[in-house]
Amino acid sequence: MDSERPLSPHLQVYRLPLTAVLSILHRMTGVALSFGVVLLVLMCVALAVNPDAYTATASFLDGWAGQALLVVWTAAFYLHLCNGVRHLVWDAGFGFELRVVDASALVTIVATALLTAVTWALVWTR
Amino acid sequence: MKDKTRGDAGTRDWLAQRLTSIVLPPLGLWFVFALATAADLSAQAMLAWVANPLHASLLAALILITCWHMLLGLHVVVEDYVQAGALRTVTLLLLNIVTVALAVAGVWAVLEIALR
Repeated sequence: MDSERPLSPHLQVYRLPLTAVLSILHRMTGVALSFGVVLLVLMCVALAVNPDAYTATASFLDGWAGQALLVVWTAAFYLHLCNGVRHLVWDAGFGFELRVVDASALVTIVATALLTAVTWALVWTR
Repeated sequence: MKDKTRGDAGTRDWLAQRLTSIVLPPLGLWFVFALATAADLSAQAMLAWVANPLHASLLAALILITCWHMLLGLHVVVEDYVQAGALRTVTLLLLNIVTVALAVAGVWAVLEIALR
């Protein structure tokens, strides 16, 4: 009986408003960030036992493909962070009015863009 | 008799996700900006950076808390998209094992560098 319960398909079915788009992006960025965690741990382990492997990976990340990957990853990180704060505010009981929800959605997007831009300005002007 | 004075695992996981969500923004931002502003990311420089006791402690905490937060989140994702049954059970089991392995490996690596 348990296996006959429906799952949660939604992306193939509904046209999503902004709030819903951010909601699924929150989940997708979360999953994407998980791969980043794997990379982070692997880099730490490499530093500890095989610095040459670290250096090789760092070289790749210094190239244009690696930098593009990192830009996307940081954007995902900031989106997940900002939308996560938005979720925490909801958990505290505030901001459920529709106008506030739409406004906070825009704040999330703008903050994400700003944080990503500032980060890479710092990196590329080092 | 079930102990009704304490919430069950669902409540605990919900709260753990919120608590990790509060701690991770400052910790994560510290890490990203530390890397973004580091002048030298070579193996030698990073070994020295991690060896700093403050950096090692924060990095180890970041790895641990991120893995916990990640496990809670991915657990829900699996429950939403994987049909209940043997496949879901095995997937969740693997998820737990891999995440714990990541956390242990990450913290070990940081300690190894900081204490050598």
